[in-house]
Amino acid sequence: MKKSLVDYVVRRIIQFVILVFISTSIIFILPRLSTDTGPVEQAIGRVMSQGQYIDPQAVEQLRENLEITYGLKGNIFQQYFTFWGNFLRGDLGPSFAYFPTPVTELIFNSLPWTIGLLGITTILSWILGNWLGGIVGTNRNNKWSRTVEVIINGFRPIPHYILALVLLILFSHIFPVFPSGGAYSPGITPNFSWSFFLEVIKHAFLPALSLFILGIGGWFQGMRTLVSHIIQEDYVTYAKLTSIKKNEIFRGYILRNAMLPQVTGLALQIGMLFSGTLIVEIVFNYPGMGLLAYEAILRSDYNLIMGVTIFSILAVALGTLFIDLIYPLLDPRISYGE
Amino acid sequence: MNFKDLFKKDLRFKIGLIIIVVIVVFSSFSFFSPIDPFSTYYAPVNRAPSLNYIFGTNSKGQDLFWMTSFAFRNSIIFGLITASISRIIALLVGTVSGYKGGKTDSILMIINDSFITLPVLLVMILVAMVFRRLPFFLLAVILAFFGWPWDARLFRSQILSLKERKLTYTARFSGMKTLEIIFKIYFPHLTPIFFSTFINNMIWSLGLEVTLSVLGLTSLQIPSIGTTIYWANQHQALILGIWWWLAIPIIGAILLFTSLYLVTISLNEYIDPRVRAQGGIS
Amino acid sequence: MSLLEIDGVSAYYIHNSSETKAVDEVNFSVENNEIFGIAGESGCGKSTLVKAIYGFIEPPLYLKKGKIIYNFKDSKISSPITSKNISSSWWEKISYIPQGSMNVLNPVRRIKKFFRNLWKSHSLDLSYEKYNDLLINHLQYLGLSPHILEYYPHQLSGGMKQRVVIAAASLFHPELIVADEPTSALDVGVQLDVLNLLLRIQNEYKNTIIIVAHDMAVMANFCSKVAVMYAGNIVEISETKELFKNPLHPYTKLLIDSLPKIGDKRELKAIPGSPPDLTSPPSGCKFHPRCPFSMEICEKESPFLKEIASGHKVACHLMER
Repeated sequence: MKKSLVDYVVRRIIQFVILVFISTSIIFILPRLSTDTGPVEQAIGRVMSQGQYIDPQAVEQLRENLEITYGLKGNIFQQYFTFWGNFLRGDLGPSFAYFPTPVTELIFNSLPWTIGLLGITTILSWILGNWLGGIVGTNRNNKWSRTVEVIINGFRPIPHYILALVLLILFSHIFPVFPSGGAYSPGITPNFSWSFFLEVIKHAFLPALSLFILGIGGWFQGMRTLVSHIIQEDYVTYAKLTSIKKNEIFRGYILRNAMLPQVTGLALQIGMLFSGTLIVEIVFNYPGMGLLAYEAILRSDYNLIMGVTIFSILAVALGTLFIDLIYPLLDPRISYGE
Repeated sequence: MNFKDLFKKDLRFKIGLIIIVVIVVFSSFSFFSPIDPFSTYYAPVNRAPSLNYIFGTNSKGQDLFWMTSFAFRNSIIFGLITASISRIIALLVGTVSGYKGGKTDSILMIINDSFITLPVLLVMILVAMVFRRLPFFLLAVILAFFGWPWDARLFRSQILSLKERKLTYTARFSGMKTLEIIFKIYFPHLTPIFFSTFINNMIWSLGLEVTLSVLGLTSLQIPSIGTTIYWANQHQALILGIWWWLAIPIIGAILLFTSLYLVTISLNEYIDPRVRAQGGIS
Repeated sequence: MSLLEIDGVSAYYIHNSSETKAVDEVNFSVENNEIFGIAGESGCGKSTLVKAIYGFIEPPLYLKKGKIIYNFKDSKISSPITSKNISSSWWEKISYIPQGSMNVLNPVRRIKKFFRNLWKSHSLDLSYEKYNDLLINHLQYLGLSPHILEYYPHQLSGGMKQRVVIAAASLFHPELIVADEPTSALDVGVQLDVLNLLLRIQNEYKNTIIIVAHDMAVMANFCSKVAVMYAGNIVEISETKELFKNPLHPYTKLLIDSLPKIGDKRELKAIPGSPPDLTSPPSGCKFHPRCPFSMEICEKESPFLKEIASGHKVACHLMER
């Protein structure tokens, strides 16, 4: 019986490795498809245009150094090889805008903020969305059900940027209730005190609210549909027939079974949730990976963007893997397979 | 697919369709615009909406009425391009994968899932940064190559279940060739998915257009919903109190997205046969 | 006094404006201490009838006419039981073994949780430990090892799942057990086991079991009385031996003839035609389009159940002669 579980885990891990390999390779190839003058030439151009005379040998040395830095030395296969060598050693190269700070350092500085925002809003919206969806799905003929549905669904199609901007305008400019940016007021040094914690909450509230509102709709709708199908299943009917209490049917039969596809859904959504978090961070100047990416755009730091992208791919794939590995714990048909 | 019935019975479909039509009509005004969308400083700067300038003017001296019309037109076309191309790719991949099965299926699905886990926003940012001066509508095409994986799986599972049904066996035994089976028999079952995911994809694509433009990564001279917001931000519209420059594209966008969404969910419910048998959900 | 009196009961499925007359003016009674069979083809309304008996009447199913009177040992109930007013002690008076027991157990919960839920939902003055002891005894009585309590449904075979369902249905010693096609999805060997199990339960508790089946062989070997249903009507009802010796209704005859008999080398006859559409059933006697003996009156008038011999009732115009 355990063999099927081991099979499943092994298969998922292999999938993970292949996925990361393919997506990272795509990211590797993309910049090299450009026929624009490469960053090396651009950088040299910038230096030369400063008007001073530079020794051609020095320029050559500069060019070679830059090529190594940008990972562009050698032909494409050599570059690919070097790239993977560095990647596996955890080296994503230096940032150009914050030279010579390594990209990885910048990422790890912003990471906690993004994870905090993403993690908390995802968990809250997943739990609440599923719970509400379960209730509405079970009690369809209620007036409240319809109202809740309309409200929650109303926000779904709005793009992250627009909702975040609207919230910013409404609650930071028009009604200045919340601060308009950052994770904490400028001038305060981060520490583990209660007051700092409150600062963080105050600043994180609007970004979290945007993500929460946008996230809850999907789970709600999915759960509602699932529940409307599960309610017709034989085992629910039988539970009703044997007079099992409604509460128990709701929790143990309906929710418990509907949760499974929702967990899988969570795995599939992580990419989107991540992108959404980045956008919201940009709107609110929140010092996570989103803001890092934005700064990179403004300063044409494409090493940083590449690093952020690859890291995101890795993070998303890991998150998906993690959820997929948890799934058997929830579905006895897999862990106690036949 | 009886659209007239749907229009009458489903309030959401009605409202959604009406708003979309209004917006489309509004954007088509741009074809008769007396103003060249690339010209600037022909109108007084930063005028609030008035009888002369219904949507006001912006800091670049442009009439926002016509600019908004152009903006919506371009954005809608952007969305249409992405949705159409990605539908075709999704259909192809899903059908081939579902029908052939075996190794082809496994390989295609691994590629498919690799694309699903890509954080598209970041990839598009990378693409936009690397290939500078990307033509606006070319971006739409590139986006299409990232918008197919989700729905390819949808098509694939539909094909998988169709394969097991009687109609496939009947067709095969009566000597129909593979391509014939796919086109004549399967496609009618796939059209509902095609349409509902089309609109969904449009919503996604429009969302990305707005996001990428706002970050300054698209052809900023082209008026679109996103670039309008970009320029408004660049000119500090919020702080300077030029609220109409932001409000109009935002409200318009919300209307557009909401109406598209209303149409797509009513279509989806209409398509789900279980729901139809119960006489509808609403 | 009969345990169960079914009096002019009609139960319809109502969808938008169409009515499916699944059970149409049904009258009969069921006694204590007997195994009562209800036979007929698929779609003849037998499942609906027993759902109505059990009280599982939920929209789109409606009890249109008539009433069902339950004469239990300590109470008489004559108001219609629907899923809204089913009391939590119902399962102790009358239990139900549904069709398709393969999928009635919650796939994400162990069997013991199911029985624990049963304990929680029924107003028993029993501690959980005592309940558990009773349960284990009961399971062993039915040939199930107590280990199955730790399993998930998908780990059990079809026969075992069926036994679990039977265990649940007989656990509280109800006076009436309704079994809807208890053997249809099982292998032949297992079928026999399950039916023998039901027989044993009935012998021990001396309660009443109603078995619904389309297989006349099951009727012949396990039931003391049989009612034959067609298109929502009871067309014949009698003691089993009498029914098989002397079937009076043409439909009953066809049903019995379609059974293979040992040593019988004739061709098996299928019943010609197909069951009628219950939203617009045929006029008069609903069987007349398929009946080899139909007469003019059969198309015009619906025949009533008449007692022809002692305990043997038939609804057929042929009997008027």
